[in-house]
Amino acid sequence: MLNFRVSLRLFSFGNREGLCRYLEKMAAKGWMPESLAGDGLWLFRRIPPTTLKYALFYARPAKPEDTEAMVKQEAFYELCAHDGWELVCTNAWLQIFCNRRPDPVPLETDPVAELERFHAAYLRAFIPVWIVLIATQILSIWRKIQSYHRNLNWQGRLEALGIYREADIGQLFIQVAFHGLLIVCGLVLIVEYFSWHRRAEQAAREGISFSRPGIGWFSLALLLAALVFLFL
Amino acid sequence: MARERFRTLTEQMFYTLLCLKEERWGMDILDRVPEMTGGRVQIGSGTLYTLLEQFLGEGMITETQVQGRRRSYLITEKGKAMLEAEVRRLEAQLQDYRLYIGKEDTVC
Repeated sequence: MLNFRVSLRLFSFGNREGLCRYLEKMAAKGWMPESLAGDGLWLFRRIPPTTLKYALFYARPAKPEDTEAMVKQEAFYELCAHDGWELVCTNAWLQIFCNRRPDPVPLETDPVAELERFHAAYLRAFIPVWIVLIATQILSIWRKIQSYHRNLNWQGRLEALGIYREADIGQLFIQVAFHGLLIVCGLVLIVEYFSWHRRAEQAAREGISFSRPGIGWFSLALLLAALVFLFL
Repeated sequence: MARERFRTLTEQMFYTLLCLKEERWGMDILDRVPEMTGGRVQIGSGTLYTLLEQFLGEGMITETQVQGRRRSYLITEKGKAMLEAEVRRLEAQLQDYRLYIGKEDTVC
């Protein structure tokens, strides 16, 4: 009987309800997460089947060389232990806790503070990636157009040298459309996130905890379309 | 920025600050708030950690002692001012409520 198992189960960053539900089901079947790589590559360790409560804390784990952050983190873990929350595993921006008590005080009890922490983690983890994506795509479009113009200008001389490459407007259009689509994807993701955050902020002030199960269908459709373009 | 973020205090923020009228260890706050509110308000450890971080950042509380992993905190003058502003806001709200209910009773 194997004591470890690997499982691929992807969750979007804000889907804490889905993730906790999944881990609670796994605990009932006798599996406890040992590590989490990326968004959903899990390594589980066998435990006796048990009822556990899980909670997420959106914060980057402190690096061992950063003594001050490590001390603060230890103080935080001590607070968590007081309420029965034990650290299970972490990934880049997430810390996963479990609790063996039947009815524990939740790890997060203030929707406003919880959303602020999530927002801070999200801004650092995702927004720079999207901005870089948009910037590289703009650069790519610029380079394709430059290259097209160069080909157009040098067409005669290249032909004479026998290395003629036709400046194809159709090909340029497809390439620009592909990069443009990726730019739209990045922009849609950014706009969608900030409009969601505005609504979540209002709800949090009314005492409602945030819920963000996945990315919207529109941005997902755009991403899929971009992938289709890539393989055309 | 501090005024914007803490323009209105949530219950958890309010009771955490109120608790720190006296110097307290972080863990004591977790026990003290339910005591103060008859169990109506509980503070999760993740929430408390976030609030303490934010309050320290805004100068609303100060760290008074560090003993290993344990840290104690105390409210500052700025924190007291925020707390008082919140109390005034709540009093005004209560006054408006009473005024409105009073008017309604007269009409009826």
